Amino acid sequence: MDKQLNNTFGDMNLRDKIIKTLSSIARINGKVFDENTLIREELGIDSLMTIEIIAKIEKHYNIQINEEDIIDVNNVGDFINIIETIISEK
Amino acid sequence: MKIGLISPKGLKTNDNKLDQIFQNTSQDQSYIDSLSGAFGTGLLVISTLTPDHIEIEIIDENFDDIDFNKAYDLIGISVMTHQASRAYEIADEFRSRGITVSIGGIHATVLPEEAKRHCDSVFIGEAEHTWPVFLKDFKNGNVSDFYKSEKPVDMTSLLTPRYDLLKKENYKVIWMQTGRGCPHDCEFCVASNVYGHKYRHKTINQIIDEIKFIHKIWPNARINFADDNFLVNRKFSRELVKHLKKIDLRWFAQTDISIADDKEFIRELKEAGCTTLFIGFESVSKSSLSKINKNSWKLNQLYNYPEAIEKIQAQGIGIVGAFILGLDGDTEETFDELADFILENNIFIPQITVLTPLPGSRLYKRLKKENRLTDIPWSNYTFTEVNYIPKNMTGEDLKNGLHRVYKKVYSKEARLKVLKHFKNIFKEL
Repeated sequence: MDKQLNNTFGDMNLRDKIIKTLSSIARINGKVFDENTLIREELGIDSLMTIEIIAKIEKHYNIQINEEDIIDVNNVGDFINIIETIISEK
Repeated sequence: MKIGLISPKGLKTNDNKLDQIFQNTSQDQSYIDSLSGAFGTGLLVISTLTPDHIEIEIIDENFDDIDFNKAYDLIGISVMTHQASRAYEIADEFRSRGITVSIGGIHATVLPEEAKRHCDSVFIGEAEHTWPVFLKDFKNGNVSDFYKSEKPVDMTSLLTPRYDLLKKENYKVIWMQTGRGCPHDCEFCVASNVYGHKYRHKTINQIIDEIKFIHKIWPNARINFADDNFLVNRKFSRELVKHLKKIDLRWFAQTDISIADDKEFIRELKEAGCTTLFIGFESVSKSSLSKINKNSWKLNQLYNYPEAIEKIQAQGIGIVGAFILGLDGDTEETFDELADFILENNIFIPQITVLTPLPGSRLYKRLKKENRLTDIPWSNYTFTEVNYIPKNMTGEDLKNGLHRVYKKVYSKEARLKVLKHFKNIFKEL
């Protein structure tokens, strides 16, 4: 999966990369959602998929994400913001 | 002509304390709701067998109120035991208005005389063969009291259920049946007594077409395969999984612990979009497990449970582990033993229920013979209420024990521990 992500990321910006990871793990076309899309209610992403997404992002960016901070996040935009903040503070 | 097909409200615990514990501590409420609030495909299947000129309205009472003043010509109600009290209220109300009512489903199948007291016609067994006959009789003004299915339905003959009749906005998870029947003979189970012990299934083409039809309506929906044992015919399920891999699909299925023996197949399940598997462990007590199957199948698996859980979850598939409290071998110690087992093995979602003597099961017959059934309404058959006299404890002890286990396994700390466990797994995959 990680190799797959590296191959597909190319020159994408961070937000696009995170959306790509979300859509790849959730097996949902990234074009059908935007930053206002609700993670659980609209995308049907459950806590197991959320943790899979976190694990892949942690591994890819070599960062640590506190599960507690992210597991109850409601929409895609907030999810991306938390990850962006962690990466910028790295 | 207009038919109203109704799935009555049900399966919400009446135990307010338990509901509160769960709401306060679990981040997985929506997951559990999707399991317990399932809309069965029965009404959608008989809709395909209804001529086009007849208008059909599906009412899922978990979401929509019933309009008793609407001009229905005929009402059909599908009922499982936990819905029976409400189903009979609905039936009585419509009949008081002179509308013909029919009732089918597992509860009506096992207690047809009871159901008949509230309706004009009862469907006993699978309704695919009898529904068209009933419609013809209704047209002629001459319905029978009972319509009994005389032979098992050939699943390969079924059309895609009418999912398009459901209100799209009500569902994020769609339940789909690919087959019926289970070879295991669990004492508490009624479905295998109704559907039989031989697994009958649809063809791969039927299944793929059905998934595509569902995805046209709900592009992001997770599909929950409703079969009691989705992977039991390993040769067929291997072939099916190859086809599922080609579709962008997330799915859940029910199966048994024997799947753990096949590491390669578990990996393929994950690649094909399987996120979670529901597995009935039932108990971690040797004495309790010894009484569940006639051939002691589950008892023989007990010592493999931790290793099997590890093998499945290590591939990134979460286990929804089903456990029953109040079995005859259970004692006061069982509660802590179970909670410790769940926590030690990082089971993704533990589903802990109280032993429930469903009519039609061997358990029901045995407890009735032993004068251990309590006289309470079917609305208490929510799997969290005590509807019988437990053997080694009082009903109150059992309820308190259930609360204790819930508090432990659904504490915030416990849930975060499970998520960290899975994070490590996903990092390794």
